[in-house]
Amino acid sequence: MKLAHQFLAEVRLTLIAARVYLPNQLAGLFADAVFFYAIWMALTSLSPSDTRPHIGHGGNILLMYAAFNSVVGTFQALAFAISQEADRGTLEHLALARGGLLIQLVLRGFSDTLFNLFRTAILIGVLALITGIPLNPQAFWPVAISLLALGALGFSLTMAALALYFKRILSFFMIIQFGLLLYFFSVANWQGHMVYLPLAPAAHLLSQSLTGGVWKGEVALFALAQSLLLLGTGFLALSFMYRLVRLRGLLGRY
Amino acid sequence: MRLLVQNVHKRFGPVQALAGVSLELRAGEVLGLLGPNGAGKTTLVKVILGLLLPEEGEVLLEEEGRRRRPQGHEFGVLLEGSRNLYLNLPLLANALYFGGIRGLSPKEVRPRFLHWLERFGLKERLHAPLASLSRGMQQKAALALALALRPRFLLLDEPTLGLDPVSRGELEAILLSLKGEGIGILLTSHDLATVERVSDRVAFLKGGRLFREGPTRALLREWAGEGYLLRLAEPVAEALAEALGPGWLAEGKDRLVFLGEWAALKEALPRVPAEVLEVSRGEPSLETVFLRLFGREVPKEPFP
Repeated sequence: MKLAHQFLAEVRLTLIAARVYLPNQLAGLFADAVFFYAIWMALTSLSPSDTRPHIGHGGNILLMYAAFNSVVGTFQALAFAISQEADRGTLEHLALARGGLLIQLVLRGFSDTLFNLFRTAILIGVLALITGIPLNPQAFWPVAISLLALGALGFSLTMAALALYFKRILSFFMIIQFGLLLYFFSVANWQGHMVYLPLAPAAHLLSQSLTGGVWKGEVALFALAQSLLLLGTGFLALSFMYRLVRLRGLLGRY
Repeated sequence: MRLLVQNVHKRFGPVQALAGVSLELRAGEVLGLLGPNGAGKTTLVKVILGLLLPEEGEVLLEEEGRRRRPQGHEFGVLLEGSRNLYLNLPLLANALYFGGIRGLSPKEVRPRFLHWLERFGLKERLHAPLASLSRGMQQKAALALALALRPRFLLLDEPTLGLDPVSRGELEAILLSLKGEGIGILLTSHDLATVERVSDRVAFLKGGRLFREGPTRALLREWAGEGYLLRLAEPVAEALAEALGPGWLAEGKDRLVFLGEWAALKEALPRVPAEVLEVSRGEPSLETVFLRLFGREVPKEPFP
């Protein structure tokens, strides 16, 4: 029950931030849509048609962009948030949460992941309408989204661990974001060996689940294993860094 | 129930911030933690909260004969400066969030927070963003939240910072009433008058070492010894104290304290190069003790 209160506190905080900064939220959504539309136009108008099979079909590209948005959303919510909390001077108070900073950050991660999925769903809908890309959701889409969200949370916790130590690391995170965009587009045209690439099987499963594709048990298994591995790595990295910053007196410093 | 700090060592690079500090905070008492800037007070508070890990030593909570490590959420905390709440959020949203992350429901937090806001005269600002409040009001709001979390121990780092005299008086009354409710309070402050009025015991830190701890009144009597207060016609107490040497301390701008026998004061009075309006015998204050312990080195040059 106490954990539920901690989680709901994060949900309330996210909702308040969304309400207080609504114009910014809408502008962000608009910017994401425009950004994808520009990429889409470039791919469909400027690229020779024979190169398009290498980057996948429209649905794949759109859903890889959605996967990118979802991962980056969680990544920003955790890693950027640590930097911001340290700057504001409230990070030490977060560490006084029941169960400590790690638990609270994971709960924040879950809360923000839910919010990002909602936001991404709107984005997919709008972009599908604008570009005319057809979507055909299958019954296993919640599983695919959950696997991707878990992996994204694990990846974000690892990045949060870096933010916890270095604090002023936003430039590096910008590079990571661009890297992620390229990465997700590069795995849009699915190849068998991509099951070994981080987050790729979950993203592929998501793409399949929303474009009328079929359930692939092996890919799902890889996605699950990866997500758990990423989550475990994230927990370990954050635990290690949390201990280190408390030893070196860096927790509240910016 | 008591909080035990046992042989805590904390080092930051070449600086030994805490060197074997041991003390205890009992339920229902106020412990004043005093020391000059850089003495290690805030470091000690953060070690107790678990925000810093010591290289050696530990912090334990003893309850019904059993000892365990305390958790951060068991403390009400006010950290120095404005680092306690979100500036852009309304007071109530802050309270619900910081209460929530400590496992408290809005139903538990809201009435308590309202109660304390009312005590501090801020009830009407419940829905105002923290940033719209003055520095002192922000401090009061942070205090109200720390109290609303119904902690077992309160750790207050410079709680009177930015408070007007009326609010400071109100805070002192609140701290005294909390003692009655069995809450243990660790108070670090440079506002020595407040510490003197509310603390049952004081502990002095210097260079990361705890060199004395005991009941406030007993230490005042023991350390200050016999003393006399001289009221000056001009605000030159600090310069005079430095020039007159050991045994002389400035208290405020126009009061000079002489620590010694009456006969010695009679002999020294003609050498005081300022008009003395009044000489009285008084209780030594914590400020006097503090200045005696941590005061600057007396310059060798004679008074001009």
